[in-house]
Amino acid sequence: MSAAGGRTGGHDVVRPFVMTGGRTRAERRDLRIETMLSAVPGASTAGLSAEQAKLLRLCERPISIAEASAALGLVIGVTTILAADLVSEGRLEVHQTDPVEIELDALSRMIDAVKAL
Amino acid sequence: MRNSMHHDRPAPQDWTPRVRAVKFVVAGGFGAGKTTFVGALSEIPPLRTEAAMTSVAARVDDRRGAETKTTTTVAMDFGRLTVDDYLVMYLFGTPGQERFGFMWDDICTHALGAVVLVDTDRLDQSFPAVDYFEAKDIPFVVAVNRFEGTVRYDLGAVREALGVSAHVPMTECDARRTESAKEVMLLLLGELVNAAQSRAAAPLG
Repeated sequence: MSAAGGRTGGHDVVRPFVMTGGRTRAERRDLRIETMLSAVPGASTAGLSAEQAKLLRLCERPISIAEASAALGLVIGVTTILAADLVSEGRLEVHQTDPVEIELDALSRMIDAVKAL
Repeated sequence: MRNSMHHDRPAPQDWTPRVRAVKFVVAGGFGAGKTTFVGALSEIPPLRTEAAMTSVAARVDDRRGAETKTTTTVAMDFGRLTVDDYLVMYLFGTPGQERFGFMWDDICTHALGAVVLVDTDRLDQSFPAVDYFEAKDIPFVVAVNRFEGTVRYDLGAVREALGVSAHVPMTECDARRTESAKEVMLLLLGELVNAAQSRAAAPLG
């Protein structure tokens, strides 16, 4: 296994994936770093690990996977897997973000937002 | 309208707005000013997160006949600009090192567009980003850093040196200045508008 179990640059890379049962890829492929998540209203944290409970609480307002990762101090991949589990349990919902072809209206609103900075 | 996602309303009870997130990527070599650029456009101080990645080392372990795999993490800085309750822009800085190029797919999938920041002292560090976005058909603009007191380069010469296609917009930029970063972002958004208009005007079939 050579370096795979080792520490690189002071970071323990493998240990966080213990939280995911060793999985390094989420089943869902629609969860990207910018994907917005929000807690299903009334979703319970019963039976969740501490990290999953924290993630669910963070999602009481819509939040991206990247922001949730930063807030939890978890590697993106771990957050994605934890989130995918919460989605399949019906506790978390995914805001679909598939702007393959962005429409002019959204672009105009973005232009206004940048100009207003 | 900034921070409009954080209105003083209670946590959603039975209604949650569908928030659409769009992603932009800021690429460039080490020290090209990616985080500064992200910070100039972000409503929050740039956040840092890490992605784990496995790389197959170039060297093959002859004795075992197997490739050596290394797992490491790379840090990414990103910022956010809330457009309104339904639309949020995210800007992600790519990890700078060339050897991390292969993990860009995770970051860049579904990106609407990209900015390549160029440090003219280290032009070679911009090649991977230019090649990547051209190969993936991700619309991008090239912004040549123009820090005070540095030699100014002719944009045409930089374009030629980088091998950037003629249709790719190129400009100068001082990533430390919000106004300058805004101009670059507006240039990119303008490109996206042009592309959307051409699609709308194109005959069906």
